[in-house]
Amino acid sequence: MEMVQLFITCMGENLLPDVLKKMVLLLERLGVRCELPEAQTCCGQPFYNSGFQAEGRQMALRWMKAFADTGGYIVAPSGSCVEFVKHRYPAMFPEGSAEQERAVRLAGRVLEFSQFLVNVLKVTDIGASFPHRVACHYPCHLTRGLGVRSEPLALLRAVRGLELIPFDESETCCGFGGIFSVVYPEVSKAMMETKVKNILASGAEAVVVSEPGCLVNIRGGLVKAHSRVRAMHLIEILAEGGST
Amino acid sequence: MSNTKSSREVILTDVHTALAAYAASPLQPIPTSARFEPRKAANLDEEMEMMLLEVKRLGGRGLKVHGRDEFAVALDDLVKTERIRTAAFSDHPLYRPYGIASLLKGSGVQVLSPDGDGRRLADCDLGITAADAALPETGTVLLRTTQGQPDALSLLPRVHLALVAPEAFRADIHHAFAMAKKDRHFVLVSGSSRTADIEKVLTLGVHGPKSFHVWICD
Amino acid sequence: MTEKTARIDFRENSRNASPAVVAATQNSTRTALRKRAAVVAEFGEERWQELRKAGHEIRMHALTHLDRYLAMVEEKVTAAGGYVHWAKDAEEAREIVLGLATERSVRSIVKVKSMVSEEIDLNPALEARGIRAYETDLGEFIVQLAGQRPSHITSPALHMTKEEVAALFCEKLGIDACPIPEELTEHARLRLRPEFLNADMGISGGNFLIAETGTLLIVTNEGNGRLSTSLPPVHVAVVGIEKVIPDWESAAVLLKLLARSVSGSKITAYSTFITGVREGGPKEFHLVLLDNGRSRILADKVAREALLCIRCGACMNTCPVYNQVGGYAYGAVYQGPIGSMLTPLLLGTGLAGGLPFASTLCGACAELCPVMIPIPEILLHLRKRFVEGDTFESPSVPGILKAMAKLGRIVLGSPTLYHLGGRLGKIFQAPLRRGDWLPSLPPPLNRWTMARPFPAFQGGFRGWFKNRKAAVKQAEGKLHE
Repeated sequence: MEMVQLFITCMGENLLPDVLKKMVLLLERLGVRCELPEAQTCCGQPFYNSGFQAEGRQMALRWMKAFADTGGYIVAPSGSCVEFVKHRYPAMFPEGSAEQERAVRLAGRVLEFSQFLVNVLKVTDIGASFPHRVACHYPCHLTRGLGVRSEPLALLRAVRGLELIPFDESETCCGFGGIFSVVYPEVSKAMMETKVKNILASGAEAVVVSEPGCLVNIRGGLVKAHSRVRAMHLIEILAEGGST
Repeated sequence: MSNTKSSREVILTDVHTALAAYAASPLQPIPTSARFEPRKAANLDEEMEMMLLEVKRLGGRGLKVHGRDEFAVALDDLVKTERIRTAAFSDHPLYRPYGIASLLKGSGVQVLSPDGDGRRLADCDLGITAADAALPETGTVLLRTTQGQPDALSLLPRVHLALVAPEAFRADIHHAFAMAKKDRHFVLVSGSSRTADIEKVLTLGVHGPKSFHVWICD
Repeated sequence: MTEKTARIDFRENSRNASPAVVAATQNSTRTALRKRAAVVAEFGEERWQELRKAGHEIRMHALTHLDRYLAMVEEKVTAAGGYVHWAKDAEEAREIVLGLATERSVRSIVKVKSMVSEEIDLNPALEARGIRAYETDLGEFIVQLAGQRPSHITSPALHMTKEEVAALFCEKLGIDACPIPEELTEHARLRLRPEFLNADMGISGGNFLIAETGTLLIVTNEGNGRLSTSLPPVHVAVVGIEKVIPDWESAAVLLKLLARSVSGSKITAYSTFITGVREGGPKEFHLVLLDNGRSRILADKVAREALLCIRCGACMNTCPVYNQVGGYAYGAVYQGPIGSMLTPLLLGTGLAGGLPFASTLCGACAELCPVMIPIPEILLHLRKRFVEGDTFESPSVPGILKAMAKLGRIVLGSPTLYHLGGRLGKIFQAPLRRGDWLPSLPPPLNRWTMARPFPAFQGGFRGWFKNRKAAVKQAEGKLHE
């Protein structure tokens, strides 16, 4: 039986607990045992990417301590946090140091949710049903950072009744960008509004946004625009109509 | 300029210091990873067809011309359709048998000399150049810049005709450079002078020719 | 640019971006990207990636041997009858050019679009000496007439519509111009033709300097680069020291990358190769090699890759931030992602420290960059410089932000405080909460809610998970009894 360590991310824990619960239920249904390293808080990306690298490094050390003595893959509902641990941690510490060694080991274990399903469990069809027109946004760090493109698509294609429809600039950034959204709020707003406009023009009933930061941004934008289009994490779609 | 020498030393020293990690080693050979496998040529007929097609895609007109008689007809046709009244040409040995000057005169065109810096070509209608290489993939001709074929000859007249011999075909730009780099002064010409500076609308004929012709002459 | 001492305020600039400029910018960049994608597809995606890799390696090799290649350029250009000048900074470069011009009683100059010329602010210096300098690239001619600066490095007038250009021509050239690009182009041709023929000097930049033979390579589509460097009796090329490439094989690779990335053409209309002086060409050839901060950038192991740039502008075209604000928001000669790196590197993060933050780190630029500059990586490096300082600069970040980051680290770094924070969040948000959302938050968090509501703090996952585990364990226990 496969065992995974849940990497719930600070955004997921505080803002999207439903996504996390559904992730656990889906994984358990697929016969995966989930464990939750209690000491985890934040991976440090918000600090590091804002230029506060010393603080980011301290957070990384904390995170590594929380996960180091656990077993199995480390799975998160976020490509951005996974990419940070996978690509940034090993480069954060001096070459050949014990910290770097630990970071490299952990980097080899960490996976985004759809990667784990498609590449490790080798499942694409988990019996979900969602008979709606769905557009798919490609979050930057998941798509370009981790190179995860085909996995979410394979999972979406297997959903009963789901009609995947294209939309303009689906690979363009939604304007979240972490600290960017508060340093340059006007530009962030304009980017988000362009994204929302493109989603609305597609005629989709729902848009898949499998990244907590982007999900909060786009979902908020759709609410502000009084739209009935639902922004959903892939996990939320896969949990629809299943036998959970 | 008294400071020139010192600026030179300052800059070179700064660069040298900045590269401290590399400075100790002699000039390393260019790594093989910095090399790119050039395109391979198809057979000559296909290469010539590709050339004609690419010239067309650039908004120009390509033509295959066999022998002097066809050349004479084509030139007379060009003079009429482009309303050529004055022309200048590069006196290349390869095209001397065609008697370009007398053909032009026969069509009622005044012939100017291209020699010198070419200022006098500003009011010329047609400039005829001899290409030292042709690159079919991009519809490009390589023109050596010489006394008898100044930059202006393929630039100031409103119509540019480049003559290409089948022997001039090169598979890729790499081969053309290997041949021409010893000449040190040349230009690659691909189509008419063009711009897209206003709303990205492609417009032909900015400061150079508005019309580009390539004739493959055998 | 070098004299500018005011801090660049990207936020203020972006607020002032005119919607018309933004719309025209988006229109143009979209076309450029579409064409680019088509020629790359024709070339073959896999071969294109190999080409990019070769381009990167060539530029890295050139940079890491820059001193030797610069010496080689000097030797070859001199041997070919040209003169080589060295300029440490913008002022020296201007003085060299002004000196050459006044010694020869030059009154009129034709110029080929050059970012280095903008960087050293050459035109105002020439005008101040009563020398008329004509920008001959159509886009640059337009912005010069308008008294503006280029808003894009390869497409200077990208922000203007044809109607605006027509109105400008009517006003400044005293002609009756229709808003038709072909006609406007014809007006510019007629206006500039006599200037080419009468100029006393031509000034260009350079796309590359081929060390092997000391050859200057200039690409233009309009032909202005060829006219300016062949008709006037003196040609002066001002080129950044980082433009050196080893040999002709390198030039072949880089030309392929450049044309496709700039404008979606397989090749630029004209590539001119100039080696010193030639018969029938200008009688004098002067090459001014400009440092102006480049050797300092070279010493920075991370940032030095910004010097690989071949000025194609693809990063700007694809940048979602550039596309929302236009080029002027960057407040300097280089805009978009390349500007967000080069401007703080050239002017310091004290003046331009806000620019590395003008990015969502989405990585679209790095994906297109023909020489594979790790742009987000360098932006992070400069953010760190701004916040923490490094061996090149001391930090410029305001103390209040530093204090907030420290506090944030302490809270997020301790599970007890982290969970307490989550609980307090839930309590404090109560009066602001509307359903699942917090429609408006107090400063500074209103910077978020001015655009969209913030989701209400929820939490509770850990408790849910613990209960579930316990329940499962209990069930298993019962099963085993």
